[in-house]
Amino acid sequence: MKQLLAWLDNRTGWSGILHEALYERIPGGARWRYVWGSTLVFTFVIQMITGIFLWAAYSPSAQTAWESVYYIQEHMFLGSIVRGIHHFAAQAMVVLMAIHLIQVIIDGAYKAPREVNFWLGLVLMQIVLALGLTGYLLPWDQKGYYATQVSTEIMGATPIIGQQLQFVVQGGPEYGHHTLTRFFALHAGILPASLIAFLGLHIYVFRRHGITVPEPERAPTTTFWPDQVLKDGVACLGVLAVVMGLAIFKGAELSAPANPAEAYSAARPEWYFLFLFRFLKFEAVEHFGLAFGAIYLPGALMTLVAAMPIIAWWKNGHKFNVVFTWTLMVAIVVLTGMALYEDANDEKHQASIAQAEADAHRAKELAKLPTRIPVQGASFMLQNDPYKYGPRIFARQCASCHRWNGHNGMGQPVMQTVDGKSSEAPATAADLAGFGTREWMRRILIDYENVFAPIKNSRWHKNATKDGKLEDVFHPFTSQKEDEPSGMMAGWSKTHSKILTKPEHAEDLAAILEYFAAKADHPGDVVNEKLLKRGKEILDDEAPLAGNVEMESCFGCHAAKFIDEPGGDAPNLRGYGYGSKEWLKQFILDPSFHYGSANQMPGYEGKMTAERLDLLVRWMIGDYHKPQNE
Amino acid sequence: MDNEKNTAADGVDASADSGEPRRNFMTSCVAGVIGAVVGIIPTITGLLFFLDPLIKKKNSGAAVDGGVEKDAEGRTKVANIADLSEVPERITVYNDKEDAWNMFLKQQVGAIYLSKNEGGKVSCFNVRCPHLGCSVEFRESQKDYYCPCHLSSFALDGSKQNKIPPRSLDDLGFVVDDDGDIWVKFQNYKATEATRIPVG
Repeated sequence: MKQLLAWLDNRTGWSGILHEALYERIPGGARWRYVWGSTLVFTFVIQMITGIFLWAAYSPSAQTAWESVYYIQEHMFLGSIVRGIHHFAAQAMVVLMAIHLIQVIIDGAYKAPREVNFWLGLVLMQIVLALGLTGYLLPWDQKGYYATQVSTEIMGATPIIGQQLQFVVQGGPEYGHHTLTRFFALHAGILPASLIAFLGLHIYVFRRHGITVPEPERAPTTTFWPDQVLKDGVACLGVLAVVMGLAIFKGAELSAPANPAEAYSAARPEWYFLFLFRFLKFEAVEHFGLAFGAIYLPGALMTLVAAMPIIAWWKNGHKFNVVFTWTLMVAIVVLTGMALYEDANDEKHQASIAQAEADAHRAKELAKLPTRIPVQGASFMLQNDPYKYGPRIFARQCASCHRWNGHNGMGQPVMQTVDGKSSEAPATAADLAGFGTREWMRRILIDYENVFAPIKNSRWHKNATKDGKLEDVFHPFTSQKEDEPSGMMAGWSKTHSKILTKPEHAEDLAAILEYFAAKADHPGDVVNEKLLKRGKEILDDEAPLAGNVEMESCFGCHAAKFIDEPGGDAPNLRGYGYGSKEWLKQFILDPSFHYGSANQMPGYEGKMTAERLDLLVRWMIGDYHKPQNE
Repeated sequence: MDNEKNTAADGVDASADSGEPRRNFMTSCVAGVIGAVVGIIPTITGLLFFLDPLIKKKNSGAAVDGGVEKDAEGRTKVANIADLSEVPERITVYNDKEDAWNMFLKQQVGAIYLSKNEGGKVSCFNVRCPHLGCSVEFRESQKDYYCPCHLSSFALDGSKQNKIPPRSLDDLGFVVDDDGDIWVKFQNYKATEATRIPVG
């Protein structure tokens, strides 16, 4: 064995290299302040290991990037831990890099003859930041998508070559498949390779000049192995513990799949760029324009940092550098603190974060259904979720008159401004929560007037009342005119609520409701066949209620009509299931189809796309996967 | 050669000249252990993650909205008994295919040979040759199933007719419903083995 090693040493010189690597002299003894460079190398090694394993599961394309990261995170063994380590170690690298830089400046390790190594270090810093930036986009989630858009737009604002640069990096004028393939090639190929090359140079030049020792007489001279390695190892263990702890207990975030049409109000850069974000928000900075705040000023500061070894050639140059570094650090900490504090106290931002988290949760929930993610991708899947979009469409299109459980569909009150004062607006049409369900029908039958009472708040109703012309317009309340059918349902309801609410008719009422539930045919609703049979007897065959009580039939007024027969003053209930998906769609597009002129609602024919109408109606009748945590 | 050797030796001697600082054995041990720990933890975590295919549980195979119709046992409808004859017919089998995060509906997942003998008995074979996984073909002239890759040959009842394949053709379980529709539980088996080992 010894002979073999000696032979190998003769041919390769490995023992000399090893000796040089391990037994570098450290005058003044091993110290904790020397550990930062080693922790950075260690964190980079962690990134290489976890990065290569993540590579084996990641798929860079607009329809598979979020999907594969979701799969890593939610389905693969230890996936969330491996991604968590990669995610938090990247941030640890930025922190360690800042500490390393400060320590180098304070100890004067950047001064002659170590200028070149300082510059190599600054190059490494840019590479690490570029790795962070490219990695942030790869999950193709809302957060990374919008944050990276800001970066590439800033890049596009570069003088002269801005647009060309942006197109090349993005792989085209807009984000798409090639943005991901390019960012991935940068993130997993070009940048790590450059980092390794520059790290090699950095360490080589570092060893050439030896360690910078502020107090050589502090302790006896020692060697890198094992004294300094022990301290470095303990520091690396500390870094690993923090990263693992964050990976296990906090976990890397994956927001909803990227959708350029869907605003992401919670957009913020990675926390270590928050200072720049906050800086750009100062009015004085905005005044000078984006290029000044985002390109020229940071560029000038970086140039000043790069010039430090030269500044140090002058007397007091080093002192200036140290003061400048601390000032910069304090400014960064203060700006970051300001950004965090302001966001924490910004209710709108907090609401955006809550919405973003709800969207992310919903996307994962849908992806876990047996249908999995469609081939068109998770963003498409979420775009066709009635639970997510139904309330928004309702809030925008319906909530100016209607309500949903008293709110606008999204849980917010509907506001109005009267004489400069903001107040909650009264509804001017029915509250549509539970439309077409048994409960809805029960209220229609026995409490009709209250269901439609909000109509009395409407302007047309008020004007008609004021002018004494209420009898001339159609409205759902009791009418005095014999030949005007529009008000008769309220009268029917008043008379029949007394009958139908009697205990002996409870089952017959349930049977009638079952009849209409079967007509509405809401997906997932199970109809009680026995009740339905009884309901048909009462409504279709006009059988008397229990105890031989006669009920005025629905179909005296609500005559059976064919689907393509428009008009009529009482809604058609027989031919087309009242409250069903088709009925509701038809009604929203053209209310007069069922109601003739006896309805004040405007038709939405041509005002709403088929897709949006479908999302709205499916949400209203509950045709979607119900969230588990409700 | 000698020159190189001397250079290497010179390097070592140079450092030895200035006197090696004292090295503590305990420190070396502790430093070595910590170094190993910080290296091994991320590596092992990543390796276990990579071995996910060995750890993950199987797909449920349950029916999906908009996908292929299945019975409780996961069988799919392939043909009607009335359409079968003594001449084996090659029929494509459709199923929903789960692939990581996607579910591909109504995909072609394999093929079977279906035939009905004089007594009305139906036989159903997977076309995959148990030798090395090629597709067998029915040969009208020889009245056998034959694999063009390595010349395996099987009788109409699926039994092997030469020594090339390790076992007979894989017959698949099926049921015939009241309408005469045949529902097959499609399954691939590992090639090269004398016994049938389900795949996937």
